[in-house]
Amino acid sequence: MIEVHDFRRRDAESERVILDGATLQINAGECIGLMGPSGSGKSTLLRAIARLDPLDQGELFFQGNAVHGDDIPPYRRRVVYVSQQSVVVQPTLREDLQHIFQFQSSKQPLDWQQAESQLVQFGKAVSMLDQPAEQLSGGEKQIAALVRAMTLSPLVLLLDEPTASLDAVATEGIETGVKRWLAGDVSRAVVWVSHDQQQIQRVATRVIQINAGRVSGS
Amino acid sequence: MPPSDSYIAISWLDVSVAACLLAINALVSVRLQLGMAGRIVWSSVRMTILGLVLKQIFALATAAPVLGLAGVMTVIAGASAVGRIDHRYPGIYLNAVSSVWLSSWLVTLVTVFAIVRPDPWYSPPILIPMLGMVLGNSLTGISLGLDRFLSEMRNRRGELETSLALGATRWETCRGVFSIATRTAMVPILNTMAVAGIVSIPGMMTGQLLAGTPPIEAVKYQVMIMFVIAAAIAIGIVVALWLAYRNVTTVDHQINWEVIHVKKS
Repeated sequence: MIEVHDFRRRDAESERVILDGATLQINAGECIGLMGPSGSGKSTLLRAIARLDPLDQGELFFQGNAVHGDDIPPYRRRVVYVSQQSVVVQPTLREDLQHIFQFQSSKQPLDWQQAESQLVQFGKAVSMLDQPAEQLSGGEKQIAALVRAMTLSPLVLLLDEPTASLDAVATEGIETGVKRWLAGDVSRAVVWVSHDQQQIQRVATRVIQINAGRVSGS
Repeated sequence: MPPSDSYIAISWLDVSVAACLLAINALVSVRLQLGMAGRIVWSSVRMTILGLVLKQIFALATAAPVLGLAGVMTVIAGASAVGRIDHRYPGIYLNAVSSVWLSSWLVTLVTVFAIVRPDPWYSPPILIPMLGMVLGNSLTGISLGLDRFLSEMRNRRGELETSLALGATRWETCRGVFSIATRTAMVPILNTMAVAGIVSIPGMMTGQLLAGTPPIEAVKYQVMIMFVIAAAIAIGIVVALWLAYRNVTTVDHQINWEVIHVKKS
């Protein structure tokens, strides 16, 4: 579904190589666990797959087509990046959902039922939609971000250490919710960045190691 | 416009009396270690030099030196606008000078050719002070606006990246910050316009009244110059922010965080 070809990136200030010819393929139905030591380029690679940062070199193909320029905003709705510390931009999740469905790249109407059922699948009450964002806990913010991403009906979720700062209960809720989402359609895929080997064993169907910006095996 | 009978000329001795008052500022600065004494003295010297330069330029009365001086003033204004900003991106100086140049010259030329219509059109006593007022306000607006834009971009990084990651275009992502920065740039002139005639009598009108111009004529000039300044700031800030926005984002709808950095002190 996604082909990442020869991604190269160097830090402008330190000149350090962050991605050194990273190449990989993401197929439908799989959950790739992306692992590596701190500073190895895991998050950079994930952000690069979301086309969030400029690259020095490299090509990305989604469903056989190269993705660049104005293709990128619609692509980001099909391949959604969820960061480690998620932000609810608007005062509530409900307003946030309304906001993202006003973007130019939004081609489908917002399905409230889907949003509500996703919340329930993560073990949350529907009333969380109207809870002030600043009152949400870290775990709830992360769930809000995942629900927001899933409401876009994406094909791929790019999860950047989504449970890094959460307790065991919240972590389990997120792992279960994501696995359930993946199982809901064979055309979906997940790339899950984590430094927790046990978590990767629990969620991933395939593991990719990254070291010094090089994808070293799967 | 020749000075009227009510115009009271002041001598250099009179100016030196005012300079004694300035000494109070210098004293305060020295006592409180504000480090402003040098700047105060330098600005006084600079004003005196400006007077002498203007005297020469006015005497020449040809377009080239007038436009040359106007060009120098514009470049200095653009560079000064950047000097007050805490953040930088590559090309910020060129962008600021271009924005100041475009906005100030455009509105000043409209003013000269369509409103005031002096003869000749480059009449230094009209063109230079008019451009100076526009430049001074324009640089303040551009400086405030750019500073707010770049600092908001950095402060709202998480929010902006979230929008991009959820399919917003670069413009949809930055539009809110663009609006906030534009509003910030317009605040000083809107404040001035709000209190003009109630709390303060603006500088240009004060000068004309002191020179003996009838109050109603002075008011007309002041209102006109306020409109002109507001237009220059609006054009200048939109151009400056647009150039900044294009510089810190990419055609791939990304924000290039590496190019926005804090000024090295």
